[in-house]
Amino acid sequence: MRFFPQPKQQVKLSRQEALVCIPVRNGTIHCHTLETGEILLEYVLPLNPFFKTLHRKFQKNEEPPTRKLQLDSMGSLVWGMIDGENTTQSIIKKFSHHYSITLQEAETSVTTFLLELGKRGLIGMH
Amino acid sequence: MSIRATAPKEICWNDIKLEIPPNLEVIVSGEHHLLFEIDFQPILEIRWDSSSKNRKNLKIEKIIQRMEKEFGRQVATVQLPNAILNNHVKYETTWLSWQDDHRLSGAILRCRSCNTLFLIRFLSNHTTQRDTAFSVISSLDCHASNGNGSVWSIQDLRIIIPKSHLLQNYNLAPGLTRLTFSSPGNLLHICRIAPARERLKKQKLTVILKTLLNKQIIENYTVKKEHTIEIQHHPTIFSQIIIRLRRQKPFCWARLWHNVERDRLQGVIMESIRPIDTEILQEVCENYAILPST
Repeated sequence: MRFFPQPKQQVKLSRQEALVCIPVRNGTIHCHTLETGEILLEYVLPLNPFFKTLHRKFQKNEEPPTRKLQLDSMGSLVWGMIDGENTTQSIIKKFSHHYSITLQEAETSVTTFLLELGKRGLIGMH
Repeated sequence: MSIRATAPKEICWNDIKLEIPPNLEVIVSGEHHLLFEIDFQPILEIRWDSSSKNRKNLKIEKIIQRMEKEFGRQVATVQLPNAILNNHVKYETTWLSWQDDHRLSGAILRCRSCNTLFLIRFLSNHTTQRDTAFSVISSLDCHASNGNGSVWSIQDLRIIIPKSHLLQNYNLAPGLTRLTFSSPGNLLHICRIAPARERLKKQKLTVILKTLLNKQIIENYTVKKEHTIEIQHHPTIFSQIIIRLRRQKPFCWARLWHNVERDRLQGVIMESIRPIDTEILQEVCENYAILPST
């Protein structure tokens, strides 16, 4: 018998597989477009059961804790392209074309950004 | 003069020159390693060894034996007509296969004049992509440096660096390209920031230059003309001693300018242990161009 559960082995995608994935927004997120054209995301902070209990005990309101994330113009452009239809590859191409930068540069910046959004639970890949 | 979108793109990296079709993307994987992709599909890989210039007697058979050891499988030679490469006169070419079906997998090219050795690997079996790979190899030239200096052309930047400067480091991070060259007592940094307008919305030119320099010497900067700033740091003897004791270079010259037409910030920074000759740097700045994107 194991005392500690084994960590789940993450499925590692190849680069080619990752590029054809379609990023999809988390439906629970509220997006606000600011006057500057930048996007402000408001999302519920994902908490594990222990912290959820703590939060319920010490917070008067029952609402789960939320966080805000303001994207810059480049981030807002990529967020706008996450529509459930564009693949990662097409987002990279459009981003590269929009800012006249090389595909290599665009790939690094877009994938890093998508990874960061994924870590926060703002997007998923399908 | 207008440049057509179909015109081949020139790539100059570490003494080699290539001409590639505009739809091909170059990825710098190392100082002597380039990868070529079409639509995110790798088609060709080139590695080269200029240190083999001193090893005239290095036999191709020995290289093949070493490859067999590394791959753990047999590497066979393949016969292909010489005319497949336009530059076959310049290079001694050995076509190789390390696949079970004896399909072409790679090649070894050796420059007949300077003995620079190239290891080429084909990463796609698609006929059109293979033809593109052949056209890239045909344009290969390992004598890219001209009389004045060595040409560097990667991404959309093109620059001529004095011959005495050798590549020490490079960073092709998204948005910031930085090539660092060294010569005895000097360090020359070539910077390119893209897209410039987005960056300038958040920071001023002086702040960006300060970040690039990583030094607190930005107080005495001069605005040469609109969108251009320049600094020259000439410390006192006492300061020079202190800076040298910290194993840093006391003299510094930097210029950062906004190329409005191409939406790029271009920077040239020189650090030195002795007073800097700005004439060479003026020339470097003049020869630093951003090419139109295809």
